Amino acid sequence: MSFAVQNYFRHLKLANCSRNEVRIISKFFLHCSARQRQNEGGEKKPTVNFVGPPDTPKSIAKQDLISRAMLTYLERKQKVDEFKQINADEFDLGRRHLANIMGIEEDEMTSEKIREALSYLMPSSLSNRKARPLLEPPEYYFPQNVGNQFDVTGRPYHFLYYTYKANYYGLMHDLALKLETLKRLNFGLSHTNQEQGRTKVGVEWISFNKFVELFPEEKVTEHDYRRFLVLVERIDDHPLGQKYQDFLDQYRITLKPKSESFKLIQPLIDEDGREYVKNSGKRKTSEATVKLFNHGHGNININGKDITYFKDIMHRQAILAPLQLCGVVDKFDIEANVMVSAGPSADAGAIRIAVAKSLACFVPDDMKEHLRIAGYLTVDPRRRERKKAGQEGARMKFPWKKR
Amino acid sequence: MKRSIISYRSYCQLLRLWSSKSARVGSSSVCCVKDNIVTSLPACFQLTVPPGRSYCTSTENVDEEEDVIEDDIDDVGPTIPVFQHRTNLPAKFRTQHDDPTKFSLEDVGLYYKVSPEDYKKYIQSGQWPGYKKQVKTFTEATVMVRQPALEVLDIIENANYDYPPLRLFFYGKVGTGKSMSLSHVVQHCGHQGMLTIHIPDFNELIRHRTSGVRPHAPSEYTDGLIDYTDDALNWLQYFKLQNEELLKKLNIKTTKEYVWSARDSTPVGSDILDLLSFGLERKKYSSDCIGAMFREIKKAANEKRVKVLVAIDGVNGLWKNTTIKDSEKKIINAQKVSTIQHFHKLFEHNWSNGICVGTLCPSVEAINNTMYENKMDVPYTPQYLLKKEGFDYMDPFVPIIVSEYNFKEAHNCIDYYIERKWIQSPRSLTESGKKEIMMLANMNPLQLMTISGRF
Repeated sequence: MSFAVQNYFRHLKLANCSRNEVRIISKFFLHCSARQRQNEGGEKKPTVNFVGPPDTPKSIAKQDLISRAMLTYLERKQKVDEFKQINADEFDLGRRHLANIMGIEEDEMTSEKIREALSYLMPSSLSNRKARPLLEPPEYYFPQNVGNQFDVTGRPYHFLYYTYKANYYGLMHDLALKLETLKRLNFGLSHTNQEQGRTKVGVEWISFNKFVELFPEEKVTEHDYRRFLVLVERIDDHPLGQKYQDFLDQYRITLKPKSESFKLIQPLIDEDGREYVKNSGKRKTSEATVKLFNHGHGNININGKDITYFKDIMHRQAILAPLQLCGVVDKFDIEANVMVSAGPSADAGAIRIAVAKSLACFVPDDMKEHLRIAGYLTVDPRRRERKKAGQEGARMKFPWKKR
Repeated sequence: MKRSIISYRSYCQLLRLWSSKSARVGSSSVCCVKDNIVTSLPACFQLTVPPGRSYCTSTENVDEEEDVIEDDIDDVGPTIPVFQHRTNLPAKFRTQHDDPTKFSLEDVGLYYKVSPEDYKKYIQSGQWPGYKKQVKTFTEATVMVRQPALEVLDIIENANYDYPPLRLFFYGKVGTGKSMSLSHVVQHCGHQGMLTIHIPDFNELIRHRTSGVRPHAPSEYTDGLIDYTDDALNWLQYFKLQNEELLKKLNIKTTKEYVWSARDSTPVGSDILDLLSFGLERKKYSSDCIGAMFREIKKAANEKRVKVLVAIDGVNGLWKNTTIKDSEKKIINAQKVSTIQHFHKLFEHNWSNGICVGTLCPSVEAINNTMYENKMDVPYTPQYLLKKEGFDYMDPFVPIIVSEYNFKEAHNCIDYYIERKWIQSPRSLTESGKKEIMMLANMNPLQLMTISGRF
C-alpha cells in the first residue's frame, strides 16, 4: 500500500479486519487512484473525510473509471496500430510500384508474383533465404498481439497473471491438484491394487518445442519443461493414474513404427512365372540394382558371376546378412547388377541395401521392423573424406622431420 | 584336331547329363578319338545315377527321428517361429571299406581313410600345405571319393593298352580338388600293381626358391640343356619310395650300356634298381639317370611286362618359364631343362601299355606371371592353360572337369569337420548354420576348409 492510501484509511485497524473489508479496501484503492488522478489535473482539491466511510465520487467520467494499467495498454495499442498502418501503407505503395514496373495490374499483384518480381529485379546469390530482399505485409514480420488481458477495472482475467507465465503455471496448478487428489484416494488401499501402473506402450510425451508452442507469449524454459515432465510422470506412475489418462493424453504423441512409412513394392511376375521384386541401392559411389526372386534355391548372380565376385568373406556375409536375419538364406535367388563399382565394400553395401529393401516386400511386418532395427534398410551416408592441403591425406600428416 | 573337338563336345554333354541330379544315363557309348585309333568306352559309362537322390544325414526314416527345436528368441529375434532341424543320428559320411580300388558311384561324396604308409607313399608330398595341417590336426588322412576320379579310374580299367597311352586331364577352378583326385588315382593304380611315375607338384620345379636359385648344372649328355641336380635326386627318392617293391619283383634288366664317364658305366643286363641307386649316389648324373630309366621302363611296358601310370600335377607347367638364367641372362624355358624334358617325352606316342593322367592347374599358370594378382582370377579352361604349343602337343586328350561340391558332398564335408571338432560353434551345428557356411564358401572345397575354421 502506498503512503497516500495509508493516510486515507488511517482510522481502520487493518490487522484485525475481516476478508470482506480487505476486499472493500482494495476496491476503494482503485477508485481512489482514479480520483487522485483527477485531482492532480488541478481542478479540485481533495476533501478528505477522516471520520466514517469515504464519500463515493458522484460525477466521474467513464474515461476516469478505467484503470491506469488499462490506459497504458490502450495507449500502447494505439501506437502499435498506427505503426502497423504506416507499414501497411508502405507495403501497399511498394506493391503498386512493383506492379507498375513489371507492367502488371495492381489487383493481379499477388504475393507469389511479388516474389517472382523481386527475384527477377534483384537477383541474390545469398544462400540464406532470410538475407534475401523481401516485400511482405507487416503481419509477416511483426508479432501478433495477444490482446487485452484486463477487465475494465484493470484486473487481469487470469489469476496467475502476475507470474508472467499464467497459462504454464495454470497447467502446473491443475496437475498438482490432480496428483494430490490421487494421493488422497490412494490412502489405505492394499498393495495388490497398486501394481497397475503405467501401461501405455509406443507413446511419448510431447517434445520441448511443441510444449513451448502451447504457451504463446510466455517464456517457457527447458527447466520448466522438465518440471512439467516430473509432475506428469508422477501422475502416470501412480497406481490410480488411470483416472486422468484422458487428460494426460493431450500431452502425448503416439509413435508409429518407422517401417510403416517404408514404401513397399508389389512383387512382379517374371516371364518364367516367378515372383520378383526389383530395387536399387547405393553405398559410397557404387550403385547396384537387385532382382530378388521368391521360391529360389539360394542362387546368387552378381554381374554374371556367382558369390565369388567378392573374394573376401566379409563382403559375402554382408550380402547374405538380411536373408539370414529372416532365416531364408536358401529360399530366395539374388540377381544383382553393379552398375558403378567403387570397390568391394561399397558394392557389397549397395547390394545389401537393395536386397533388404526387396526382402521387406515379402516378409511379414514384424520381420520388416527387425530388418529396420538391424540397420539394413537405412542408407549409409558416409562418403570419402577429402584430402587436406599440407597433409598427406584426409587425416594423415606428412612425416615430421627435425630439419 | 577336328575329331578331338567332336569327342570333347560329346564328352561334355555326357558330363552335363551326369551332373543333373535326376538324369538317368542309360547305355550310352562315347568314343575317344585318337590318331586314327578309336577306343570305344561303353562299359565305363553304363552306369545309372539314382534319380533325385537328395541328401539326408540319417538313412531312411528321417521324419520319425527328426527333432524339431523351437528357438527361444524373446528379445532380439523375430516373433514368427523359426524352426531348425537337427538330427541326432550319427551322420553317414564315411565309406563302408577303405580299399581305394573298390569304390563305385554309390560311394561318391563319402570319405575313406588312407593308411599312414599309403599317405606317405602317394598323397603327402605335393599336397597343399593346408591339407597336411588338416591331416596332422585330425590325426587321420581321409580323401573324399569324387566322381571325376571314378571316371578316370573307369577309363583306366577299360582302356585298350595295345595302343599308345591315353591322356586324361583334370581341369577346374582353383581349390576344387584336382590334385586330390589325381592322388586318389595314383593310389588306386599303385594298389593295382601299376608302375607309377608321379610328379606330385609341378610348381616345385618352376618356382623361385627363397634360399636362392634352384640348383642346376649344364647337361653332360646333350649340349644346350640344363639339369636340375637336387630336384632330380629328390624325385628319384620319391620314385624309389613308390615303386621299389614292384621293381624288385619285375626284375627289369638294362638293354644298353650307359657310359657316364671314363670310370663310371652301367653295363648291359644290370638291374634297373642298380641304375636307380647309381642316380641316388651320384647327384651329377641323377637327371640323366631318370632319362635312362624311363627308356628301360618304356621298353618293359612295350613287352607287356608292366603297366605304367604317368601322373603329373600341373601339366601346363611343361611349357612355362623357370627362374633360372643362362650366361646371356635370358630366362630359360622348362623345355630346355633335361629333367623336365624326360617327363615331356613320356607323352609321346612311341610306346604303349601305359596311361597318362594329369591336371591343368591355374595356380601353375599364375607362377612367375605378372598378369594376375590372384590365382583365382586365372581362367581354367584347357585351351587357355596349355596355350597353342601345349594344346597341339597334347591333342587329343580327354578333359575331365572337377567342379565344386554338390549339395550332398558339401554336407558330408561339413559333417566330417563337425565330427573332427573342426567346426564347434553351436550356430553352425544347425541346418541353417551349415547352409550359411556352404553359401559363403560357394561349395568350393578349399574355401569350405578355410572358412569352416572360423566357425
